[in-house]
Amino acid sequence: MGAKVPRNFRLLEELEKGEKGLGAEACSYGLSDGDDLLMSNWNGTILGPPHSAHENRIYSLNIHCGETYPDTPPTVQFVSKINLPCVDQKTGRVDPQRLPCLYQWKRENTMETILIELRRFMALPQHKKLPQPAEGSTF
Amino acid sequence: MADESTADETPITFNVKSSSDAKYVLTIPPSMTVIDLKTKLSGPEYADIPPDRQRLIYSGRVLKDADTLGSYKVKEGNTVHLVKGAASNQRQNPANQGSVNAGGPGAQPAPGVPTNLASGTGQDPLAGLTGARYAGYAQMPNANMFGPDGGMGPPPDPEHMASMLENPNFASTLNEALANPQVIDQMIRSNPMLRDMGPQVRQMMQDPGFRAMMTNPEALRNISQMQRQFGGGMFGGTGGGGNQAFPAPGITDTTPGGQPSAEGETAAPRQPDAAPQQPPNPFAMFGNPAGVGGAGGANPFAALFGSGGMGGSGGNAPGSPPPVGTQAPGANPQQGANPIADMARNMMQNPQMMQQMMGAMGGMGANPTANPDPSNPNANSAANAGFNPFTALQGLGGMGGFGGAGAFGTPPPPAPQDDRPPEDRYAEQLRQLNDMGFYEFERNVEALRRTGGSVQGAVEYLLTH
Repeated sequence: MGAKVPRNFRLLEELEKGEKGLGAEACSYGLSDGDDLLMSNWNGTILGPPHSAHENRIYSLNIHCGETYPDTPPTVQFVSKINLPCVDQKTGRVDPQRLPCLYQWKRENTMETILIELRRFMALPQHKKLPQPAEGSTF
Repeated sequence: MADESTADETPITFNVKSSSDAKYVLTIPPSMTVIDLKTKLSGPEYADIPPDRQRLIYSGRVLKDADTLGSYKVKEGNTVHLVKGAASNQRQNPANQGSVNAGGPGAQPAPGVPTNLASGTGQDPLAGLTGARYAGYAQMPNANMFGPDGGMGPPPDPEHMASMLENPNFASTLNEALANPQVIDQMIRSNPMLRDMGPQVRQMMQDPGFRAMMTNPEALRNISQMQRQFGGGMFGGTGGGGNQAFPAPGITDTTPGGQPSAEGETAAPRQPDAAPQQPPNPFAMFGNPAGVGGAGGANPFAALFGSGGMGGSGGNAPGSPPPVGTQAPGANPQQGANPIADMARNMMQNPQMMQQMMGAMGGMGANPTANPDPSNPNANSAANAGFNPFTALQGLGGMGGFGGAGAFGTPPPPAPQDDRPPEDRYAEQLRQLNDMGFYEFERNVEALRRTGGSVQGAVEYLLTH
């Protein structure tokens, strides 16, 4: 891995940032199982952007960071039902081809980057009016 | 893991960060449940939000009321996010359903509605109004001999119509029918013009104000009075059939010389074959695709559905002997050309004209230029009489009475509601920002959205981001 920050250090960094709430207000993330030494499975939440159909909603996601993270993007899957073009309506999985930050993944990107981008995606003028399933329903 | 079950009672100190940027430091034993924490936070010294509106998020998870903080492994110095949520799902859901419904013209039938309403006209209380007998008679001069009930009787005069509505039974039937989404669907389905107009029609039909107007005999009287005063000639000679040449619209003689090139851009493509003759039937809008345009003169309601301000123009134009202006092109209704449509076009593209019109309708003017027709001495009072019902419509979503009729004729405009796209909502502010030299549309919108539409705030935002 050379001088690159190894996976686990990187994930620890992100974990601390997530738990301490240092990141953006509207997104939160943390390990789904605090005892998981590999830090593979994460939870994320996105607070729906205001002035959109998502306002006042909280969306939960699962993020899986594979062995090769952060060289390859994690897989992201919505737990809360959401109607968004980049989200598979059956599984809730985020299609990496449809989300620029996954499509053009850079090593510097973090899980927070993804969450923020997803939130921005929700707030896009062409998406923010999409009818949304009832709050609280899950995939 | 073990510490969970043994309930380590050492209090932990952590932060709660609310969406309003306030930060509270709490020291709490991990055995405390989330709902207890919320109750604590609901106090005035903290967030002052009722517990059921609080959403606590930690480490990517929404904390559930029944769980303890320990089970989420909230650790010393960590931060829990507090978000103010909707009171319950109720607030969000209706809004969404509304947009779902508005999105598709083929809305789901309401439960409990007998399906035969849609299939069998025999069962349909509105069959006489929604049936096909009006459809396709665009050029049929004597369409007006069909009564609203489908019979062959003499055309009911508006008085008759109104007195019919005074019969509480009929009024309530009609009201009920209009309250029934399926009937409205059917109306819309059976009428291509309404169908084209999309969700707004349904919205309008469902508006209690509109229904009240439709079923209020007084309002109908007012309207018909106005019709008579504006277009008496036409109604007087309803039997005259298609031979009546459309008189040139009086109002156009103030502008059309300057406007002819403006034709054909936006207006009134929908009803080239509009029937010039309709009985003065306030219900013509129901299930009468072709009649709508032509009925414009006769039927102020039709204007709302018809193309390009027909009602508005009709108010001034038709019927009276044509003492003024022959500028209107193609003044032969038999060929399907509709001079009023042309005029409407002109009018729509001339805001001044529109304003003038509105002004006249608002009772400001027996303005000689707006009402040059000498046979209309009562125009002013008529406008007054008719105006009230139209204000109801204005409230209905900015259709703006007569002026708005033009808007309705063109491809359906976005209904001016809260959920208008920001481009519309902030049109004025965006213009100001443009004037100040901020040309990036996306950023401007974003800035305005963040600042709730304040131009000054948006400028600050744009300069600092």
